Amino acid sequence: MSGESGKPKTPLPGTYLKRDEYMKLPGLIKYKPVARYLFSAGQAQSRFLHGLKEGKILGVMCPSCGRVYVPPRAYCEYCHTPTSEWVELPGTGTIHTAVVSYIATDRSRLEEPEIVGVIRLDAPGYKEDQYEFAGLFHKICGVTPEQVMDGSAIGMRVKPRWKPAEERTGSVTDIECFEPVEG
Amino acid sequence: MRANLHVKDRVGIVGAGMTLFRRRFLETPRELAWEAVKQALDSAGLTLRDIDCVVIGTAPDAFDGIHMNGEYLADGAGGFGKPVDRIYIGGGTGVMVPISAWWHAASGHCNTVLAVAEEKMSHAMPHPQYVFAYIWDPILERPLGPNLIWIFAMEMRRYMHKCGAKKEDIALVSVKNKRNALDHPAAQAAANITVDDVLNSELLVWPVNRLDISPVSDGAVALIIAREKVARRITDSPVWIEGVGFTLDNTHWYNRELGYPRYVEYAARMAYRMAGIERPWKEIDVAEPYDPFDYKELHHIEGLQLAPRCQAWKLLKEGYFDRDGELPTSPSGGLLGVGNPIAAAGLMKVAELFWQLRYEAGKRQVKKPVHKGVAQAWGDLMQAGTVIVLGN
Amino acid sequence: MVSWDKRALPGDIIHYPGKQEADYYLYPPGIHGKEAAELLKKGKVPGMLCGDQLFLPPKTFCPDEEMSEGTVVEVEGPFLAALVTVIYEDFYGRSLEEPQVLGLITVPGAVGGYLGVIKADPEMVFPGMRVKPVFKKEEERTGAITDILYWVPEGD
Repeated sequence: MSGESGKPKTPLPGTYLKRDEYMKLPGLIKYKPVARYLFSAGQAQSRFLHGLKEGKILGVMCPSCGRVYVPPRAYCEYCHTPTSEWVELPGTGTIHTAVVSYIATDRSRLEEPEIVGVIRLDAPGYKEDQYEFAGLFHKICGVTPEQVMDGSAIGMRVKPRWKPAEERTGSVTDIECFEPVEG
Repeated sequence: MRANLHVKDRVGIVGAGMTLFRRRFLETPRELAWEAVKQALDSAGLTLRDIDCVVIGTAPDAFDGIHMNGEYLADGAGGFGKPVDRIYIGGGTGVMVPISAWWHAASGHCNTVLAVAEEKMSHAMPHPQYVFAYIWDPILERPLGPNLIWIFAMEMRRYMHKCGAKKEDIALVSVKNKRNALDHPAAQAAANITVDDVLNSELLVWPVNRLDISPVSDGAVALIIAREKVARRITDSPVWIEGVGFTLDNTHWYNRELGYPRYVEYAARMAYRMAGIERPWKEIDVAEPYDPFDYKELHHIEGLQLAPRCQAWKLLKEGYFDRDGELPTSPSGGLLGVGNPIAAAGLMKVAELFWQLRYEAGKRQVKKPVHKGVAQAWGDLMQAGTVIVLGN
Repeated sequence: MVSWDKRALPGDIIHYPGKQEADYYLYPPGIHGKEAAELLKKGKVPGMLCGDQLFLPPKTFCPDEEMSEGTVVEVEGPFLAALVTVIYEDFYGRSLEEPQVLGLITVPGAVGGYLGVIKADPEMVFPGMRVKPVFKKEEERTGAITDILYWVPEGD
């Protein structure tokens, strides 16, 4: 063990290839993995999803600390006790943050930009604080990109726009989007 | 937590090595790890014989496209026939790797530890963003068709609203880091750009443009960590690991304030307490906060208590965080400039502090004298904070 | 008193189908793998020499203290099926029309080996039998291990 400098030698290793060089490599292996799953929503979230089907936003409260969870969890994260008191929220809320997306999941360009954000839901009478709150991530409609950019959308009062009852399936998409409360 | 740790021995970093950071390498992930490890061993004048334990870090297996990537990397990382441990917490991995290496050595269990981080993002086609789709909750989030950038854009928008920052204020981070990276031999995205270049680059999800984001990269980094008595035999100037901290929040990111990273604050406080640092904004000389997006550097500077809340962007404008400023941040060039092979990017930040604290960073060396540095990484669904404090 | 709220009947639990996939992954052969791929394309079996020790298939680097680089070389044989196994069912548990023989093929003194199909009567295979590779047609080879179509008993 000798006391040499801790600096690595330059030039640093790594063989960079251009895209076409890479595609022409001998022994290049192309492989498509396909893993299929069936995700269980569990006790608490299933009940929440059934509520959406009925046009209700349900939360669950921790009997020990009074926090109300939307989306519901089966246990309180703080007390680690079972949550068991279900409450129906009015559904209204305020926009916590909102953005204008010009790209889809696979990064292709969207024809029409889409507005999505976080809704801080009203949970009257239940314990919440400045840092944590009952809320949902969802699409936002009836708000223009300009309102997102100039900031007037943040803090705006919104309510859910439900799909027609017969089209609801017990999915987060039973709410089409959150839209501004009239007046 | 109180700093009543029973540590058998002080632990120091004695060597570092890395590959280039680039999009698309001929090397397999294993070969990248091997190249970084060889560099690190050479830099300390050691061979694998001198290494007791190995810690490997890579982020989700889906990036390299190799299930159980840690096990796959074991031999490339020099781990065959040795105790090996894999760290796996998304972007937070890079700084968690030397933290894990620290407790291997501080416990007295291993005299020398190789800390290796590797990521190869270019395997996934057509674009790694496709693979990122699976970090979203399958029931409550994926049905909405999210793109990874949404979540960052939402956080950035909230930060802008809460702190009154504009896009052009935040773009300065990208300008600074890409400029700093011009002096980094591994850099992939170094450039002299202006705020206008950032604002005029492709708009992806307002407020995020293409140049607000770090690139897609392949790369590997390795550090050698040793107990004090061994470290002193290897080099005259080990860089000591003085504090470590890590926190995990839950995955319900939309149930909390997005404008401030509480989990980073908790991790930072843990590390500072251990390092005996009471006023980090005065006592830290150089910082490497995690910067996969430009606003994230500001977000993390505040979480690291290096600036008052909502003040980081104002200080940035004054040149406070420049390489010749009062508290240089990301003098390496960060992820925005050097590149972002997820796990390796975090470890690159720790390697940069190692070179800075030994005054070996060459043109990247910050102007002020340095005694203490902090590096931080963030990861998973806006939930993991990992922090390490180094001193010379 | 708190209790688990199990009001949902099993049928009430909602399940969501999902998947985890990429369009595809592209794995490059690596620095040493590239040399090996070029040998395969020429219809040769690659191996790696670390000093006098032969490794099959070529390794990333030699497993020594220096993590040194080895030399990719053509392995001329003699090839032996060190292990053989006979497969009667497919991935889904259905009987195969014809049982298939799988072997670990190596050369004396080498470390490691290649997994390959042996085209032979299952009754006639045994560990230690001599085999030789059958390659794809030259124009169809890509440098992947599948360039070796299968192995046949030596002398066939």
